[in-house]
Amino acid sequence: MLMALLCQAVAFAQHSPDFAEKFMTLCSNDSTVKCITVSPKMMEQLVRLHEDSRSDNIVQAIGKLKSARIVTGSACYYQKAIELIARNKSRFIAGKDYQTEEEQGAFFTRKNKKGDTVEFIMLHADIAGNKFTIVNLTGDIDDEFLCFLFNNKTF
Amino acid sequence: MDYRFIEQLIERYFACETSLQEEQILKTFFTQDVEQVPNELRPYIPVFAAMQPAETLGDDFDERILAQIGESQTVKARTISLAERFRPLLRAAAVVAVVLTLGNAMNLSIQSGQPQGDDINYAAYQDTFDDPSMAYDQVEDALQLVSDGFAHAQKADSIAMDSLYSELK
Repeated sequence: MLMALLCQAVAFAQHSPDFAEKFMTLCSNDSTVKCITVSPKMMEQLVRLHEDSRSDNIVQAIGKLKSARIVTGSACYYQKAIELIARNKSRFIAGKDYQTEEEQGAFFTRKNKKGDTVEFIMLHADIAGNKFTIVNLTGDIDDEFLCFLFNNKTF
Repeated sequence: MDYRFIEQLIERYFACETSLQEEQILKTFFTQDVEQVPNELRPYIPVFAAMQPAETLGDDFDERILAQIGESQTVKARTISLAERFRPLLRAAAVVAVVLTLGNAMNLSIQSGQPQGDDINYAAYQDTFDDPSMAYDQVEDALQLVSDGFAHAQKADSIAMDSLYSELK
């Protein structure tokens, strides 16, 4: 029984934080870095929140999400976020990145043991506006969800 | 009759100075016919009449002991096999195996209860907004930013964007 309890404790300990939470631990001393959290419970409420002005596409996209975290801060944090991703390169898969004179960004994903994408991270820095944003989404990040993002330039 | 000798023996008896022979004389005197014992010595009758002769081992003591020793008890030799010798260890190992199996089964059942095998602890999430409308606006802005990011990446390198799409798939 003791061993069973120990196994359960180990299983619980294996729950790891998402990227935004890890990043916020690095910036705990800087009050200018803000993190907005939308929990799975709230996300379910958002799906049920129908208003005429809102498109079906975004409702369907939100329906595939479990949680969302949006971190904002100054543009200097972009590099720190990239370094944090690099330290966890076995966990996150790098996608495409982009860079112009005014802004830069990168995409990363994380898959579960079954091979499904369960976490999506976008790092974006607005160099001109000195603003950095992390969009950290978890849920069913499948083809359909990506199609919403690719094909709906404006929600 | 002069009983001075007896009286002296009695005094010496209570002074613990009598020998075994003298004590035997006292016993013989007090176990004779009560009428023969003078009145002044009669109170001592229960004391000396009750004296038990010293227990002796008896002549046949040695023979009896030797006879008992001579009776050899037959002890059967018992062969313990290797399996029997390790049986307690095997039982302990079996108990540990059962406990481990149950623990793993519990672990698997807990993991299988999680949708999509996701290992994020959502219980620790605390909403920033209580108002769903405000949360909606934030999520909408975030999705817009991601969509814009895809557009930027596509613009920068449309061919590479296709590979990202296929990679994300």
